[in-house]
Amino acid sequence: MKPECLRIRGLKVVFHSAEGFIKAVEGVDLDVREGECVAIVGESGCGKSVTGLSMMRLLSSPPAIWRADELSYTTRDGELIDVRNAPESRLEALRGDEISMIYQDPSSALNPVMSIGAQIEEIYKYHTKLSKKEARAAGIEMLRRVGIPAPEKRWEQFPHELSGGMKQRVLIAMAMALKPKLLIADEPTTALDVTIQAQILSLLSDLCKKEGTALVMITHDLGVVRSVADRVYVMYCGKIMEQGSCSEILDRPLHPYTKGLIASIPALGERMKRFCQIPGNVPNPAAKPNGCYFCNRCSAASDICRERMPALREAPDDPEHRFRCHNAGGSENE
Amino acid sequence: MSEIIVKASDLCVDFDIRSRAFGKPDRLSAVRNANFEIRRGETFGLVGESGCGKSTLAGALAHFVPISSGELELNGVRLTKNSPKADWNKARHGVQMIFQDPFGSLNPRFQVWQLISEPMLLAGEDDEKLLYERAVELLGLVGLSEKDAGRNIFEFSGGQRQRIAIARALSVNPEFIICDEPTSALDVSVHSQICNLLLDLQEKYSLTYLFITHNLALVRHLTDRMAVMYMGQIVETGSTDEIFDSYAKDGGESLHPYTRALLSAIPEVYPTPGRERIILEGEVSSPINAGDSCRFAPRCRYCREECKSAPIAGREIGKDHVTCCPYFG
Repeated sequence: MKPECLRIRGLKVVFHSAEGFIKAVEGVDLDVREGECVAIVGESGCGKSVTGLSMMRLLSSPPAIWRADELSYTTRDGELIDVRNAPESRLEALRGDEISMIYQDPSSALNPVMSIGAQIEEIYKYHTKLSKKEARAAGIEMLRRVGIPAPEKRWEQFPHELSGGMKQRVLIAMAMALKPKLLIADEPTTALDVTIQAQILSLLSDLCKKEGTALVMITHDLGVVRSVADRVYVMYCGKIMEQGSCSEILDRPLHPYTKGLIASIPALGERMKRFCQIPGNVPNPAAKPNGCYFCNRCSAASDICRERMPALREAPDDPEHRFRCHNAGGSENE
Repeated sequence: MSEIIVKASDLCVDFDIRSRAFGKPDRLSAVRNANFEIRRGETFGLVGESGCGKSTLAGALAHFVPISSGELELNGVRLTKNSPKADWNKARHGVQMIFQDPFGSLNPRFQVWQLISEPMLLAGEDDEKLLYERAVELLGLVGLSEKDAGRNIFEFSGGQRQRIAIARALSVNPEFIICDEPTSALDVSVHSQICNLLLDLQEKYSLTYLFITHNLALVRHLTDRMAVMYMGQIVETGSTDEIFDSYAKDGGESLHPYTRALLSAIPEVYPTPGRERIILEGEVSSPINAGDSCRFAPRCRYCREECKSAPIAGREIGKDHVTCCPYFG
């Protein structure tokens, strides 16, 4: 097994809002190993993006208040960095160089008043000693690698002159420019069309494989998970409900929420008369139910589910596969 | 064969774009020579990527986007560019819409019962007690309760708002509902609830749906017939079963190359073994001043010289199955 490059233990994030304290993330343990692709799946408001942002300590505080028992990152040179209390300057040097990020909406992630070239040049300016000319050559090469035709021409253009897919390619080029060790992609294909999504997904996973970059893919689309991820974390209301290898989670899910999520995605095969549905709605983050957060929507919920939040425990046949449920996978043996 | 509720013949929608102060404006043809029909009681799916003209076409059917040429038969009324407003109003009677974004389509200043009964108010009903009762009845129908009637829209989640939007559309007993991406703004686990609700209501009131989406999996399970759109052109229409079955059978040898690419691009949770994923080169080009020839040609791997100049024409290749590609099918 490859060594971990990112290790999170007991991450908690709380937002202070008018409705009171909103617990966005409640005790998340997460590992990213070198070169692997980890997917964080969940519906809106489940805390997946907040988890992604806290990996680089990007949450602005206030309004966010966060704590973690451990949040450590191992650099390329093997130096162990405690992200919780590392000086801002040290993290700034890492962001964009070793750890980079791709956001959901490519049109708002690019600066509209700077040319594409100037924005790419900045990365080289801050993190390397390349001259302007060398940076331009390297940047154009990078644009070519992400499949942008005529990159010399694009270099001078502004974001509004590019389509959504092209902008996302530019962002990928920027994120991958310095061959990062960890890439966090927050819903990178949600704003794109299916045919463009297919292009971008295969581009991302090819690039990461080639450079040995670890990829954290934050998404709500299990189809996307299947096509890129090695390991999956399923989140619901700020808690990890189930985790394990991609094939294990998608083919042998144990948690009722994961099962429901998979079942509610219609397959292309035979026509169904009705859609499988999870009843109810995602609970309001300021008023989560007692016990298991999923108990109100779960068909197998019993009394204990409404009283106590189950602990994350291992599946009988696979220690990597862990889930948070009182009833699934045989009774709990504590 | 069932009765036809919508029939479009060579329907075009153009927008003039004035980018210079003088001279002829550029013409953006958002819908070009659309030919299709929707039968009473069926669900007709319209698929395509963003910007391909699906919503414009829906707008043309509901007459909030004017048509530029061609003919539309709606509820038995023949409509053209120059039809008087009275004709449109007559035809539109019984046509309702459900929009994509329930956060934008419902007025936040109204209480729920006012939102739901507003279409009836516009239709001439002004007895407030009656309106309220009908709103409560409709709320029950879409899975909400009477206590929701006096609440404001911001108190509801996306899925609940979409239910309110559906209740609003149902208030005037429509026959034909245009659903413009009704689930795409919702969470995955709520998608299925809304789809099931639409199916139940269809059964109960024998509604006809035009279901616009970019989610092909929904099209598979919800619709009886479908049309695939690319940059304003309808490239293929046919029975949903036939199109998906022929894709499952031989990877879509007999389908339009764009339909095939679209089907193969869907990321599936359980991928079909041996499925070739067609990754299309390039991006959608600009529909400004685009002509009548095949607009998919620049990205098509089977493109021939003629494709770039000859105007496309529909070709029947099976019962109800029309393709616009002269080579496949």
